[in-house]
Amino acid sequence: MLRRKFGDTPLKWTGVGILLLIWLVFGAVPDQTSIPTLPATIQALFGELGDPNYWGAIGDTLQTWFVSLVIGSVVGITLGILAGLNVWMERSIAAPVEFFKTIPIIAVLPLGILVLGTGPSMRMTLVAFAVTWPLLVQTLYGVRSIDPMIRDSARSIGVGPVRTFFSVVLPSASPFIATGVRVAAAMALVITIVIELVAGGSGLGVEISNAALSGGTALPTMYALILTTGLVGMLLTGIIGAVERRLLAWHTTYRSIEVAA
Amino acid sequence: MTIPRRILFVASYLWLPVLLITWWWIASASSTSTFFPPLSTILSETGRLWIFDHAVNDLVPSLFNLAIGYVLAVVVGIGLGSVLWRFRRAAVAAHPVVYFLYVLPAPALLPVFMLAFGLGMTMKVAIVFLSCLWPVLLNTLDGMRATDDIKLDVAKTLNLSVLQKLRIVVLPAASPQIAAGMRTALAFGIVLMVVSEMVASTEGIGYFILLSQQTFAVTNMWTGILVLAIVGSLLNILFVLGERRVLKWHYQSTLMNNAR
Repeated sequence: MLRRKFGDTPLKWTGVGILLLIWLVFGAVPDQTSIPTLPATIQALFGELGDPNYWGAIGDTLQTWFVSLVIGSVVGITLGILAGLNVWMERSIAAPVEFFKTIPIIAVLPLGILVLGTGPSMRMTLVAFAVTWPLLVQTLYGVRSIDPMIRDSARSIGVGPVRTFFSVVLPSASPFIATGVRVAAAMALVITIVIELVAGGSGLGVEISNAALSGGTALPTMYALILTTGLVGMLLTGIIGAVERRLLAWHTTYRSIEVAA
Repeated sequence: MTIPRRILFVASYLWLPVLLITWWWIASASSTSTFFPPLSTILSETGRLWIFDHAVNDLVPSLFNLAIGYVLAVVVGIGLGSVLWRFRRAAVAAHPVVYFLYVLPAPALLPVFMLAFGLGMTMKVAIVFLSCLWPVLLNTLDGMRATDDIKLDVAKTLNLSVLQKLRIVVLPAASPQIAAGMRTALAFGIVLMVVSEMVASTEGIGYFILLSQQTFAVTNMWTGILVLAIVGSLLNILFVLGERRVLKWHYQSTLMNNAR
């Protein structure tokens, strides 16, 4: 009865509730050096909510994330489309792209610090660089996956190249590009946090490592910040997913591609 | 005279990488910039430092930690995924928590792991394990859930036990997606391996690169970056080759379906 009315929602909250209960009980054990109590963490979280530094850190992280994602998307999608339309271009960039794609960006971080310092421009450059390659490959697949029948039909009824691009190529490739953006968005957040943790500067990663360095009393604050990072991740994933569904609701093959991705 | 097609084909792949490397070589040859030492120096130093001195002292321990954490994560991820597939309600209840931990950037948890496990090997293996676990687990569960109903009905009529059903029907059906999860996990694992060494360690390739940067041993830093880039690419290539081998049956059947 309950299930029919509310679906899976009660069960989901039960799961979250059980976890919080475990934390409440086991976190109360004295002499904890790595896990604070649940009430202390919640108190620290509310304390942070009133702190302008907290919102500043979130803002800095989001700014790096957003600007890098936009730059990476523009470059990656443009190159991906060019490579998808031109075999020569695709073959030419194949080897470098594969190589750049698999370099752990964290390896380049020390070089980035040397050349660009620890400011926002270094963070944005590295994150944008990292997300460009998977987006490029995903876009290339998308352009390649166009149904040849549709492309040939467009040609035979005399549709020009520009119009073909906007009404055939781009719509066909868009679910792939959307998947690429979704993956890149998650990647960008992880890399942003990594760079902040290792290189310093400003942002949530910096706040977490500062709290970690301040020792025992800052433990609840550190957990509050980690929880915040997770919530930011969930929020961004949710927003990207919603935008994607809205923009691509018209696409018939959309669901199957989502499963495959 | 026409150039043979085959040469053109190969040339189309090679000209840009060759051009880029040649450009790097020439442009840096007489470089006096502290940040960009000549490529020839980087290469000769890479040979001197990494064959085999630092390879043994820094690279092997790093890869060892990665291997243990990764393999554990794959085993636990597939195992836990199978259990959650069997108990649907548990899967629904666990999903928000698992999803939260999946979207939470794992490096943010590094300080927690340092407090809980110290700075030794356990901490590094644990953080690699944790970051690799969620993509494997979620993909296993999704893949298993997407098993064809007809296959499950056949399994039912054949009276297969749960374990048989898992081994014969569900696991093979989910394996392409499990492989996708494992590939994501590998990328996460490499990042966390390096980050854990940069933030909290006195050995490993991540430590080597960051220490070189902090002591302005720029050429050493470049050799570390080069080695890490090559190792990262190699691991990825090995994974793809292994995946193609193991999932050969899957690719062949999709090819046949597409050709139909």
